[in-house]
This record gives sequence, C-alpha cells and structure tokens, in this order.
Amino acid sequence: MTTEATGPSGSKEWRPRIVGFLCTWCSYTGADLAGVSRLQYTPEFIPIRVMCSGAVDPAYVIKALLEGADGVLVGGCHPGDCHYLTGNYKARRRFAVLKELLGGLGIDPRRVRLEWISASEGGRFAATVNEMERELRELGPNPLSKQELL
Amino acid sequence: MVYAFRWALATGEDRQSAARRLLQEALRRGAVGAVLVPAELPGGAGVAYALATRPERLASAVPLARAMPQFGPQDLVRATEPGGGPMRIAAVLRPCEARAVVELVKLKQVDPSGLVLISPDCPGTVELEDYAASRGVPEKDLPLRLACRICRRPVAGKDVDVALGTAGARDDELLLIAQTERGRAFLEAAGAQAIELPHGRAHAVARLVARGEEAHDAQERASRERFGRPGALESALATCIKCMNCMNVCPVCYCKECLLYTDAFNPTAGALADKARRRGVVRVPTETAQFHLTRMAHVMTACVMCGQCESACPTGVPLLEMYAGVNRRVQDLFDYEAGRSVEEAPPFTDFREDEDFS
Repeated sequence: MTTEATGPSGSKEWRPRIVGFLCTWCSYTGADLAGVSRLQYTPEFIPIRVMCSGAVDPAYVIKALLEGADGVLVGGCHPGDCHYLTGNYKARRRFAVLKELLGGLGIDPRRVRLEWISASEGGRFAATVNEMERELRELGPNPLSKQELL
Repeated sequence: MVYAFRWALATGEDRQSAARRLLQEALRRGAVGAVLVPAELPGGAGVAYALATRPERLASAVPLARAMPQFGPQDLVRATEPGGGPMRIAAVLRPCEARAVVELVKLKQVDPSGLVLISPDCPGTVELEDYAASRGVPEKDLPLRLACRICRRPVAGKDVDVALGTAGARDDELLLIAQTERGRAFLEAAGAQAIELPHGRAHAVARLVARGEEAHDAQERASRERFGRPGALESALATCIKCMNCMNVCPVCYCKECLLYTDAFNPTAGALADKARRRGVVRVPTETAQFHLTRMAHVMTACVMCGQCESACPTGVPLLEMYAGVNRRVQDLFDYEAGRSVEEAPPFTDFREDEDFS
C-alpha cells in the first residue's frame, strides 16, 4: 500500500504516510492553528481526532503500522495541562511500553512518536510533522505492512 | 518476620505424600475450608487443579507435581469472593502462578483476605502431555518447559503466605516457612512444628535464583538477537491460527470485555474483502500480528513468565521466547517486577509527573 499509493498530493514520489492521533483539546487544535496559519507540512499526514492521548490504546498505533502507515504520531497536551488531568501521563507509560516492544521485535521505534503540542503551538505541530517526515524518509517505507504473513 | 516450621516425613514417606498429608491435616483440623491443589487425573491422564473441601478427596493431590496445570490463578478468581467468602482457601500454586495472583490482587480480581497462598520451591515443570511419560525419569533428564529453564524466581515471593521448602531442608522433613501472620496461623492450626530457620536456607535459595538469572539473561540476549531482526516477528507468528488460547490461559489477562474481540480487530465480511482489495492478498485468519502485539502491549507489564501461553499454543508459536527479550526491559522502565510485591502499583495504574522514558 505504502509504495504504490500516490496519496492526496497526487505525486508519484514516495512520501512517508503518517497517521496522527491528536487530542482534541491541544494537539488537534494546534494542527488547526498550523492550518489557518498556512504552515506547510506533508500532505501524507492523516489526522485522527481523539478525546485524549490517554484514550489511544497501543492497539490502534499497531493497527496503523500494520495497515500501511510508515509512522504514527500521538499528540497530547503538555504534562500538567491534560483536560482530564492525567490522561497524558498514562499515555506516556503505555507509549514507553510500546516503544520497548517494537524495539525488541525488529520494528524501528522511531516510527512512533508521542509529542506534547498545545493548542497555541501550530508552529511546533508543523515542525514536529516535518521532522518526523524527514526521519521516516531515512528509515524508508514501513516493511511491516508488506510483510504481514504473505 | 518469617517463622520456620517443619513437617516430618513418616517412615518410608516421600515429600509428595507428606505435603499431601499436610493439606489433608489442615482440612481435617479446620485450618482452611478448602484446598486448591494439583491432583492426578484417573488413568494417568495427567494433572489438573482440584478444589477440595474434604480431606479424603485429596488422595490424588500432588502438591509438588512436576507439571503445572492450567487455570490455577483463574480458578482462584472464581473461587474467592469479595471479603473472602464463606471459607478460607489454601492454594498451592507454583511461584510464577503465585506472582500472577499478586498481580490479580492488585488489579482487584482476587480478594486475598480469605486466601492462604502456598508455593513450593519450584524445580521446574514439564508440559502436561509429558507428565505421564516423565514419571520415573531422573531429575536431570526431565524435559523442562522453556519457562522453567529460564525462570528467575523459582521460589515463593514475599507475599506468599507459606513457602514449602526443599532448598536447605533436611531429607526427613518438609521445611515450611510462614512469611505472613496468616501463614503462621495456618501452619500452627495444621499442626506443623515450629523450628529455627535452618542456616542453609538463605544460601540455597540464593543459589537457585542466581542460576535462574543466568539462564534468563542468556535467553534474553538470544531472544533480542533473534527477534530484533526485521521479518523475524512475521516468521515467528506465521503459524498462528488465532485460536486465542494464549490469551485465554494467560493468568494476568483479566478484562471481562476484550478489545481484541471487537469488530475493530475482527474484520466483518465486507471489511475482509476490502482489505483483500487494498492489499492484493490477505492471510486468513487475519490480524494475527495485531493480536499478538496488542496482547504484549497490554499484559507485558504484568507478565510473570509462567509460559502457559506457549504451552497452550497448538501450532508452536515461540511466544515465551519472544517475551523473554522484552519482559524484563519493559518492567524495568518502571522499576517494576510483576508479582514481586502487593505494595507496588501496576505500571498502568500509576504515573509520576516528572518521569521521562525517551
């Protein structure tokens, strides 16, 4: 899927596809701000709005990786700013486990990222996605979605 | 504070029979109302857990069986009630299973107030299907399960009420170490004889642990080497038929409603066709990698490395070998060890504001 896909940009050149789980209170609003500020970032970014980074079960990050994402970004509120007080702290722990597992199982943990992006940090959002795209270009297409057992 | 007791072997009696007699005596004297213990099945078919309330029905109990029947901790979940229920239960579980019970206590699945946990020093177990054939086979030739060959904690953890000791014990006795007041009361009520803790005990235990640590470290390195390679995961999971046995026998996998049974992870008819169209081909059953990775992400912080998952796998997926490369590292992230202590909060129920895992 990854290599053949042309994606929304219509270009034939491979660009990493990034799925973003963004908390509605901070990171999603930050992404909105990046948009209205006309900041440029990859069109291969697929945002999914969630209520809280703490609601992102690692299962969904894994699913994205297996279904063709080259990288997954989870965006939450800065520590201390969680709308639900502690969701992002819980996300941080789940995410640490996920990265450790991926690393031990031959999946580059740099494909997944947890970042704190507030509603006012449109610039930080765009910079994060761009930096992630750069890194994923170096890593190349995600082999996992192709190799899954056939 | 620990209290040592002894249970003398009768003339010609082996340890297995003496341990059985201890449990029977405990029932007879009313030290507990029931005993959960491995018992031999009729016709040499193997062993299964039995929950016995009458001492005479314990004739086939094998508390020191060199096999680990499945569902011991899960049976405790079903046998105990909040507040302890009408009767106190003594449960003879392997040290790894007892660690699983400690996890379940913290996750509020088992109320320990009505329990007396008993764990033997564990020399390792064989697969259930090897049990009958392994009778009479010399110790050193037993085909131990991988989980047992790489076990770092072959003796009772600190929350176990009674450690049933062989390490440091004399040949003519069972050494019983009460590690809690409840364990002490149980042993006194059962009629065990209080003694001084034998000097050799601590050293003998340390030696068992050190040997286990060494074997575990070697396996951890080998596992990381094997599974750290791209593509290794897929080939390891290639034979998975997604029967979910590994999940059903897992003692620390406890949710009543499982995410993995929802439609999101089980394509309905149209969704499977969609996936085939998108990818060109799709393996059936699908979502095996999704299943295993999710399972690991969910339970690895609580995994006690009992290996029941691997034993229950009908197609030989090397689950435990896979887990061995990541289990300790995952728990180390939180300075946690599954089953070590009821006082340590399970990592997913806790956090610190200033922690940083990057």
